[in-house]
Amino acid sequence: MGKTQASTSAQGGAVLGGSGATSHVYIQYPPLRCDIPGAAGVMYDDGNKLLLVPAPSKVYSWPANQHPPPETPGVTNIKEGPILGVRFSLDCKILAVQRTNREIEFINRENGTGFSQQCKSGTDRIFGFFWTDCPSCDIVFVTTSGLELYALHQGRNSLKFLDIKKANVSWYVYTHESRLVLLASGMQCKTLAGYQFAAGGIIRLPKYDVMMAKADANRKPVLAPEDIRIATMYGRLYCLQVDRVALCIHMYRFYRDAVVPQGSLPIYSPHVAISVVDNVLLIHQTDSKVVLLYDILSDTKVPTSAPLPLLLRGGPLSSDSSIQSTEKDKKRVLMNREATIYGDGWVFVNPDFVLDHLHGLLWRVRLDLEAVAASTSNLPVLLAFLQRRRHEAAKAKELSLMVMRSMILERRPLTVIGTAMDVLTSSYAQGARPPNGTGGSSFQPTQFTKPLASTIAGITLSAGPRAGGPSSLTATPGVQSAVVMSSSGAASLRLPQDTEDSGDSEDDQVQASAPLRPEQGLATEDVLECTLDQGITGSPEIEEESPTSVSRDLSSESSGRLNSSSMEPSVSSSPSLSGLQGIRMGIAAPLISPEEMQRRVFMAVEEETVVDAIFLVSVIVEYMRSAAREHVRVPPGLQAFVVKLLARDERFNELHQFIAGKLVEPSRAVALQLVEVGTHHTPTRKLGMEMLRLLHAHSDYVKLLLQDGRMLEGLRYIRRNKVDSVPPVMFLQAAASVNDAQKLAAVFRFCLDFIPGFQQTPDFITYSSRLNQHSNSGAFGR
Amino acid sequence: MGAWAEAAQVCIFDMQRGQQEGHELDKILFFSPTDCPLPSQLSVIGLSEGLITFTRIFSPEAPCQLMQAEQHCHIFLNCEPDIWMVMVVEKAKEVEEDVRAAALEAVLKEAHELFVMFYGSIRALLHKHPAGDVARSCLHAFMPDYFADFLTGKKLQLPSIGDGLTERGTMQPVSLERDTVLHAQSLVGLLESCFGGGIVRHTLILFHGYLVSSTLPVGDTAALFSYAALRLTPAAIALSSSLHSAHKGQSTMQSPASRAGQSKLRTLFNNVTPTLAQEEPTIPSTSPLGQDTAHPEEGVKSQFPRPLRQDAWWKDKDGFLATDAWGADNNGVHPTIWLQQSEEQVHLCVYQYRALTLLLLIPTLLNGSNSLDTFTLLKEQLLDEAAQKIEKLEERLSKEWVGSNASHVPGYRYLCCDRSSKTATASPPSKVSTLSKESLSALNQVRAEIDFEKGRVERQASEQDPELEVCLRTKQNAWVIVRVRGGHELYTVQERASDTLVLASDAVEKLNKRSDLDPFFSNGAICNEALSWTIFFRLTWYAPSKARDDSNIHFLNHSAPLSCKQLEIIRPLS
Repeated sequence: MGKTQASTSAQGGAVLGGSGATSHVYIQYPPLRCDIPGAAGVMYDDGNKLLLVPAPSKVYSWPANQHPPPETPGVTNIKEGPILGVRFSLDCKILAVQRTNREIEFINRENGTGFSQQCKSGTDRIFGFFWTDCPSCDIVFVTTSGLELYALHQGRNSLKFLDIKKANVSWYVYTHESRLVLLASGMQCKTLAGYQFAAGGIIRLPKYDVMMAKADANRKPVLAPEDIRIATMYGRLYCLQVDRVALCIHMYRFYRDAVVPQGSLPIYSPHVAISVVDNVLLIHQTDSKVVLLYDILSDTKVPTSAPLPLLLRGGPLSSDSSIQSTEKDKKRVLMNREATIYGDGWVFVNPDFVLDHLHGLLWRVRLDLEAVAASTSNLPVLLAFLQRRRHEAAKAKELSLMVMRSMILERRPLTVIGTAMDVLTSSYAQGARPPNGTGGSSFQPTQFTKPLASTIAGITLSAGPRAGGPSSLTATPGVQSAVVMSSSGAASLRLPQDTEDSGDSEDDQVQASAPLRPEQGLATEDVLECTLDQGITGSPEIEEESPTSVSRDLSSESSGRLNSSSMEPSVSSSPSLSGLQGIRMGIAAPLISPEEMQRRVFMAVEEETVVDAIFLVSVIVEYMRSAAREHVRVPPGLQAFVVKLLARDERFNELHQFIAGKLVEPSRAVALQLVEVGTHHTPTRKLGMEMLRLLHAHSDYVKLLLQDGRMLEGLRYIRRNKVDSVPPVMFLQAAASVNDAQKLAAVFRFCLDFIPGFQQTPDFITYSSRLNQHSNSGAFGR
Repeated sequence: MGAWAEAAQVCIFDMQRGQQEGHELDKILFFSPTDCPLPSQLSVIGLSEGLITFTRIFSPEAPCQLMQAEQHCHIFLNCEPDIWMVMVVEKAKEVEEDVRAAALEAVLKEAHELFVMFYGSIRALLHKHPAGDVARSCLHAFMPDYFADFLTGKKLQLPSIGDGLTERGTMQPVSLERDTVLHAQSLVGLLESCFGGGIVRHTLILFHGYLVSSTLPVGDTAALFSYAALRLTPAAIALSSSLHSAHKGQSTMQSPASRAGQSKLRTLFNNVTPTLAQEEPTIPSTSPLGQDTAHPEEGVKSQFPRPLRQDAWWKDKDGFLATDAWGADNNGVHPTIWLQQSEEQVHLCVYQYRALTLLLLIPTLLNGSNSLDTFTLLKEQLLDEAAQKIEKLEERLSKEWVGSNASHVPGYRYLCCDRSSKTATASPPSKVSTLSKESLSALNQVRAEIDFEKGRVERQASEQDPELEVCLRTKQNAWVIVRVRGGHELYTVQERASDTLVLASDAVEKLNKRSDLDPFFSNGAICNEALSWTIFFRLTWYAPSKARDDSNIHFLNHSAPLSCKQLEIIRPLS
């Protein structure tokens, strides 16, 4: 596939890659099916990434991130009664079920015991609740008057009230991925207050007002929960606000002590939905049924590739459905209407799920990197995009290599290739650099170890989407209710139970949350938290101690890439990013090391023989330039390769200049290559030998001297540098083989003088007798 | 006829021509001064030919290099098979040391090298035009311009012993940080890959008079570098454009002094004196000298390129250098040069941005009829693609550039040259001029000795380069220390009277290890570690007269393992 793919991508055409359909975003068949008869809806528990279906006396749960999806759900028995929300605790041992607007019931799955908790004030209503792994509390209720924080008693049979964070709440959004809850208040609900329940403690974010365009002068628009979306991309927290009047999506980025607008993206109709797949922002234009891809770290605000429709892949064709259905009945085939893209029942759940309420299906949105590669013509931008992918790191890496190779094979302009090299090396350098030494991470002392550890755990989890699933699924009867949010597509589709006319009325709000539009954070989960790093998560005390440094850091970050009016994007974003990626080194990343560049790009290209050596050398020089800029070491093998290429065209003068200018740095590999190519060019050979000598590669040097027949020089060298890897006896053999008695005598004399105990060795006898022969026969002078 | 004219005669002759009696004049391809009576021309050539033929008996490969007469010194250069350049230099009347012959020979070598670069080899010209007229015209167009550079005022300044720490025909590299070299190389890559590659065949990058990068083979690089250093550096261009504007303003009248000097020289070389004009008929009719001499300026100018004319180049507004030296009026005639190694004719296109000069070589075959269009297009494209990079590189270089005294190492006067890459680093001339005459003279003598020794080793045709070390103490207690190894030569003069041999030698060792001297051999390239030959001069009572045998010269030849011991024995003695 490699070849064709490379060529299509290079032509920049919209021809797609291997998958056979024109789309770079797809949902994969089969979906997770959760149609339990009599179920009261579907909810998504993003804390545990479970799809929960409450039936009258049971809660069914499926791990959402397995593919192909599991057939059999986990079952937890509960009492009958109304269910507004369900969520499992983060260890999946306790299931919390919101029964009414005032009460939440808890069921311990291990011993079947249970208890209930009502909210503090009798007049408040519970909008919803979520479990948290923040050290200061275990579960948070969101009520009309704020957040109530509770901890589990040791016996796990009751809750202890800890604290209340007072705020007027019209509605709220929460994602476990970000640990961030946003509380909307005010007449227009446009004032948002945020709390982050991070591993380092609870962080209160400043309140901020979102911008809303007015449809006409007299009507003030009201912000609905589905207009707000917390998105986590590259470990940064963003709030995306869909402004359906102004037809744009405003972006805000959260910092520890600031919320900074980051500009806005255009949308083309009020009906849009948002997903985040592998840190890529997907804006679904549900009217025109196409998806736009945005990468917030790319310098431009232009979509990464052309708009293409969302496709269903791997599904049986609808015409075959009759045949298929005769097969395993478990594998029920999709009905035509079930396969409808952007169907009526679709709700987009954070970050990349699509929940089809009408048919009880859970889809996961995926990126087809090959198709993206094939449809992008700006190759450096494409490479930057690929380098930032983490979900399919191996594939992204292969594609990166392939793009790079095809660029060289097609002789793209050197400037473009140079830019592409810059992209690869800088992402390698940032990834390979240890995380310390960058902005905020330097002040992460001991207390940060815990968050760090959890982060790493979270990372591994996210890297293998299936990781967390199995154990929790079988054994878990958890309850964690989903929280409202997201799904801007909801505007167009009215969910059965979900009569929310957007969260003005508290009642509606509660209801809205009940029907579930789950949401979850699987991929980036905790990463963000720690990545919020400087931004949010760091321990508060520290922050207070060094306010200046932090704020400086923040302000510089706030000018981040996305911001069109950013002050110094590259400077500011790289340190924050590097810390993050350094931490992420544990997971697979499509980083391309210099060795891989050498082996899989340059040498691979060279084997194709279409590329002339001159051009290839220029390309490698470009690579060296970008490597030098990032302080990445160029492997000696690559330098030796340059030597070989130059020598092949007999460009020895350039070769010497390369060495004099230290473009090719002295190393044993280079020196040996010089000696090899210098077989027909003496100065080059000398250069190689000189290099060996200066590198103190004694044995190589001496062996070459020997090979040249410069025995005496070699012996002198041995003695001066105390080389013992080459036994002087080798010189005796060499001298004897050239049949030069004078030389042999000289070497023999050397051995006699400088090798202790030489007279006792068999060599002494052998060669002395041979010398005697010579002198007797008169071959050896006087 | 100026005084200088007696100081030096240069002739070029072909031993294959004029072998029959009565046709002797046909041998002469060039003779300067041109107003020299033909009989004396013939006598110089006859003598040279006789010497060559005679010495060839003993040494067929390298017949004759030098003849020292009482008042004159003849330097022979066999520049092409059977074509000889001979320079006759009058010996100075003062009791001054003779300059070593190799320095003078280098002048001839350079002249020939440049000539070949512009016109192709003399032999090839003779083959193409057997009458010899073209070759003669070319030589007459070129040589006067070349020697005009040696003219200061009225005096011809040939290399003197004061130039002991210079080496003609070598390039001055500039030692740069790796990053900068990468940028330069990246620019080269960009230029040469333009238009799918192949248009820009080779690139040379110069910064001031220093070589930054070249993709040509060593020989071509050296030749083109010499030319660029003479005529294309920003300083040369500034001078040239001032000349040029003067030239334009006053038609053919030359006002600046140098131009006047040049013109005078030209007149002298070109044989315009009426006496000689009368002798014209004696010259064989095939010779073009006759036509040439009639209208020396115009004739030469219109027919044959004069790339070494001092006002040959000026800078256009677009940053490219323009010339009319190859054609009458810049009407689409682009300068072309020949490459020695590939024997290919290429166009020379020069771009200058501040101190940075780019020499681009473009194959001639590319552009047939519409060469002008191609060039205009090419220039535009180059500017589009590379202008930014060029500016950046210039900026970097200027930042790193420490001035022309960068190569100065306090306490030393030195010359370090690398024969294989034809590069040399040396103390700046202003510093060298502080040396006493005594030291310079000693240096001159040692260099002559070394030249001789090197020649001997080379003639032995052994694979190995000569390895020599010479330490010499002059009468005034200065040390002249020379090390030669592996194609690298280091000449130093230290005028510190108190130094012993060991101290002086150590000081040289230290100098040797300086990285900026020779970027690659930063660890002491020319070390005496593997010395098998040591020449040891003891010239403490060296007399400036030619009493070379008065000085103690020790040639120590010893088998290797012993060399150190012997040196140790000898060192304390001195």
